[in-house]
Amino acid sequence: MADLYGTGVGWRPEIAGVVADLPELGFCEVIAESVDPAAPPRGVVELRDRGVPVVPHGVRLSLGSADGLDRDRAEHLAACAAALGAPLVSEHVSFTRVAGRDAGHLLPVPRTRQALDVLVANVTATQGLLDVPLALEPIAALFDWPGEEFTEAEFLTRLLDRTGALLLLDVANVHANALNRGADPRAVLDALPLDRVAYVHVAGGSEHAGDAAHGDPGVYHDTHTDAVPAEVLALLEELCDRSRPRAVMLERDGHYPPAAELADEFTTIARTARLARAPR
Amino acid sequence: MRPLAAAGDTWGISSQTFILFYLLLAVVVWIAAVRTRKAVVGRRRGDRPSVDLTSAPYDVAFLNGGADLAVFAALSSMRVDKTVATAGRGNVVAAGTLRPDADDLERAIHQTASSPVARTRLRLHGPVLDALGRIEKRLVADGLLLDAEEQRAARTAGAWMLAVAALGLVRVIAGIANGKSVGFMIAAFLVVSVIGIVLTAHVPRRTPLGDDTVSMLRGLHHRLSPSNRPDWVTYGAAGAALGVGVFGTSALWASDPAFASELEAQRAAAAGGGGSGGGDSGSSSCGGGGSSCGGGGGCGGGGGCGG
Repeated sequence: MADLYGTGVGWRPEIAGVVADLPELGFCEVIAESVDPAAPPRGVVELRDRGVPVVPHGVRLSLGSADGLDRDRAEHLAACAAALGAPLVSEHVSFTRVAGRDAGHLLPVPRTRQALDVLVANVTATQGLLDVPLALEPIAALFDWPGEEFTEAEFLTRLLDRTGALLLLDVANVHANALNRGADPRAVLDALPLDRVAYVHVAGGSEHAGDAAHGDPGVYHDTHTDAVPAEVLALLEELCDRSRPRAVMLERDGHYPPAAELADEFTTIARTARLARAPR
Repeated sequence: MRPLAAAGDTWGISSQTFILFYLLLAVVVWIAAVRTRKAVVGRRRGDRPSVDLTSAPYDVAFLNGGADLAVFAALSSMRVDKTVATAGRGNVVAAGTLRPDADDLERAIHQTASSPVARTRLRLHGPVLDALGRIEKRLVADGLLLDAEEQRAARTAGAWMLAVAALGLVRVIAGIANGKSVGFMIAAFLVVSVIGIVLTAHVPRRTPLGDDTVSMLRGLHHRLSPSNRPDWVTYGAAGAALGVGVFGTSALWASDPAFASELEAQRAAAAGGGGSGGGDSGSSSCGGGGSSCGGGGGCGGGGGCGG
């Protein structure tokens, strides 16, 4: 299993100074597409040199694309891993491109046998270029495609079994998907292959009230720009009750809070996941 | 072989001979001026290490970009603290209540801007002028900025070249009066004049220790470099002040472009830019290649960032 332990955070240049000063930072994740392997961001290099593992996290590899793997992007991911001495890399179970068009979004893959074959082929090809393990992250999606043949847990289990990939479990995505479909997130956790978890994402989001009179039930947005809601922390605790992950991290992508709030959120996650003694 | 002087030569010296000696004189004076200047500027250097001014961001700003940058740094910090607001057409106005530990310069600005004041005129008002004066005094005392005497001495050394230029000018006039061709002499005069003007007009403000201090601070605080577009909400008022102090107004443009635009800040201040090596490609919150989220509103696969 990949060598990650402790509480981490998504490294973003806008908050580099605060990330570097977090007490007991176990690891960090960096968006692979923002890294030039020949000249990685100075802040990331400093963390790596301090012995903080850095995980390149791809967002545009489009592993679910039926038109095949974009080899250049996969090679970039591998180069990032090599440049940063990463213990593993991660990407999403999604597609962002169809027939050369880039959606700019992580789009859900239909959970069918055919799509599974496509994913397995692309994941396997990517693994062939990587020197380190690959962890796959199921995304938050507002809808399911019609005619799906598997539940998300079944689909993931098959994907991981056939590729040997690890699981990057985002509890906020589990929360979002369950809430938006009226499902029980704990049941989803029960069904997921938790023994395959390499690390866990925790992120904030916000609920947008709908209009019940017009059939709009409202929606939970996994924004990464809000504080982590209590429900997501509770779900993290549920996860730990089932199978305590070795590594958990906070993902924040904008509308950054003051440093003290960010550090508090980091500490709360560490404490909830029972990963480290609470700093301070 | 031509004689050194002939009957019709201006001042009894041939043009060739004069220009040769003139150029020699110019080079000697130039070297002497530059050496003298260097000695004056570096007089108080000694073996002192650079000074960590991290806890005095407005001193850093003044050292880096003078009074204007110190005002920009203070305004940036006060903007984060919400103790100053823009009032249109480059004006600022005090708002809210200052922190109890507010800096001298912040207090002066807050007091001066009790009614809207143009950002460019802030530094001319008594309290701000006094606060800036105290900063300058500290920097001079620390050997980071030249004092008035040293600046004068450096300028005087530059003026030697102007004296050489003046000699050239007299010769040109005399040559013309004498009906001689003065083309080369005019060229020599122009070159010497330009060097003289540059040396006299551009007297360095910082000592070598001051230069070292600025570059040391840029390295130390590379995370605040504009290339990172540091988030001032996260770093707080002190981070904003230090960022602008160390990296100039480009830090303001990177982190708070709306404020920078309203203040009519220079886009590429001489003092700005530079610094962090680290690459940084798109990294906005949502959208843009560097973000983990894709695309606008809500981002991600319809369910938010999703990633």
